[in-house]
This record gives sequence, C-alpha cells and structure tokens, in this order.
Amino acid sequence: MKSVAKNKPHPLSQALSKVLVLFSICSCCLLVTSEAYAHKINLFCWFEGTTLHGEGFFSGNNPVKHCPINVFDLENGNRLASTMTSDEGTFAVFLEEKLPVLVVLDAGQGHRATWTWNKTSDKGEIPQSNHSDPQNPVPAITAGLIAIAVFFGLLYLWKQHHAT
Amino acid sequence: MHISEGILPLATLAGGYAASTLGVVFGLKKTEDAQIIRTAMLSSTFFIASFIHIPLGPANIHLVLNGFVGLLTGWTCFIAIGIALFLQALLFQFGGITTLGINTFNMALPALFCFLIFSPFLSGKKIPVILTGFLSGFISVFLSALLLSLSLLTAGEPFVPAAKLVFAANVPLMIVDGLVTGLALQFISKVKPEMLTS
Repeated sequence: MKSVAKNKPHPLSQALSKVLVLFSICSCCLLVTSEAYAHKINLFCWFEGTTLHGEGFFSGNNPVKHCPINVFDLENGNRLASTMTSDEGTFAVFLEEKLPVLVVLDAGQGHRATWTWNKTSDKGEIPQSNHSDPQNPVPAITAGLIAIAVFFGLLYLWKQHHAT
Repeated sequence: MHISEGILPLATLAGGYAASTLGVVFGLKKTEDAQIIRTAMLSSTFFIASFIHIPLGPANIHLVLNGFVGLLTGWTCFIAIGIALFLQALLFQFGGITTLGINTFNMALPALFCFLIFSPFLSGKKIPVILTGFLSGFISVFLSALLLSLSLLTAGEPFVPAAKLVFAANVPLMIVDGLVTGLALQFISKVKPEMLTS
C-alpha cells in the first residue's frame, strides 16, 4: 500500500505535465513561424486617368486570384467600388473622378494588403506597394502569448474572488 | 478563415457579436479553476496555428485547429478562440475588431459542435483516437468554411463568387487540419492520455 501511495503522481506535477505537453506543441509551432511568414502579399496600384489599375501577388510572383478588392474614399471612408481580381491577379476600377483612395485587397486566410493614394503623395503616379505582414512577427507573437497568459491569470483571480 | 473589416453589413456584425458574447458568457459560467491553464494553452495554440502557412498552388493556407481546441476545451472554446482572434486582429490585423464577433462565432461554434459529438469517443475505445481527431479537425473546418461563406453571402451579390471560392479553397485545409488534429491527439493519447478524458 505504501508503494502505491508513493508512486501516485502529485497533483501539481500532473498539472505541470499538462502544461509541458501543450507548451511543447506551442513551441514547435513558434519555431516554424518565421519560415511561414515568407508568404506575404503585395499590392501595386496606379491611376490611368480616373481608372484605377492594380495587381496583387504573393511572394514568388504568384497572382492573388479571384479575391475581393474594395476601394474606399480616403477622406470619409465610404466604399467607392468593389471588384474581384482576375486570373492574373489584376483588376481595374472605373471611378468618376480621381479621389484620394484606400484600396484593400482581401486574399483570405488573414492576408490583407492595402494601398493608399492622395494628391500630395502623387509623384508621377509611380506604383506603390504595401502589405500587412510584418517582417519579424516573433516579438508580436511573444506579446500575444504573454497577453493570453495575463488574461487567463486575471480570469483565474476573478474566479477565485467570486468563489470566496 | 478571417473576414476582414469593411465587407459585412452591420446586421451580420451585430449578430456575430451577440452570438459570440452568449458563447463567452456561457463559457465563463462553465469554466472551472482546473480548466483555466488548459484553456490558456489551447488559446495560445490557436493563436500561433494561424501563422503556420502551407503553400498550396498559387495561394497558401494556414492551420486553424479549431476542432483540436474544441475537443480539449469544451464549453470554454468561445473564450479560447475569442481572445486569440482578438490578439490576432490587434497585433497582426488578421480579420478586424468589428468582425471579431462573427469570426469568433464562425470558428468557435464548429469547435463546440465537435466537442459535443466527438468527446465521448475519446474516453471510449470504439473509434481510434487518430480517426476521432481527423474527423473532428475535418468537420470543424468544413463547418467554419460553410459559416464563413454564409457570412460573405450576407454582403450581397458581389461577394457570391468569393463565398463559393472561399469554401472551395478551404477543402484542402479540411484534410490538413484533420490530419494534424488526428496526429496531435494520437500523441497526447500516448504521453498524457488523461488529458483526453478529463
């Protein structure tokens, strides 16, 4: 009987084991994250008269096909036009006049690229690009994990407080 | 799998927030102290899984693992997924704050569904754990893609092709997510089997 009681794992060690298993899964995921971020999305746009042309592509020049494009008025946020990218990842939107605009390409799976144009930034209508993926996501991921730990820590304290 | 801001109508956004709030409140009532660490770790897993991109033709997909999270968190999956999506929106602009409610609903409801359907099989030996995991991962992504497409349909006629395409694009993800969920559960069943039954 004594040996059985001796072999019984302590509740704290059981909890720690659970944490270690899940933490190892998280760590493995974290290690491959930097490589995953090689797949970013780019958006290039330019005006020809009042027609806004654009092209979206992933890294490796793979076109962003059949994805929604939304054009917003930069001053009041109203949506001016919506369209979809072609097989080549290109699109064209006919506007009534050349306004300061924000173009949003939503490629799904959290991929979102934006492009803005206003009159002061117009220098010969050179195509500009913008993408939403940060170059080094590890600090932000670490911040996110800490925020999750803090949130659930506070939740634990809140539950303890209400239990008493 | 995230819906960005500026696409959905106000009614869909409000409905998503209302439904997700109900899920979170219910989850808070069901949460026990012993579950909090597990929920936190699975929230972290869900948060990170979205950064693992898998190249697939001209595009690439990322893991969701909502079936995995649902099976191991149960009723608290709305909290685990909601906080992860909130941080993704805040730190990486995945989805958005206005679409947080509908995105949470679209991913957490299938997770809860899979918990209710498949968790009894984890404690029994009728179906192999790896198969239970695969079915859970597959069906949760299937249902999430379906809800995502239905959400996009509420944005009107211009988004009908996008809704169809989004669903079709997620079919490979259903298989990949199913495989990863199955293998992860198989691993846990070997190293920490009590996690699947508690």
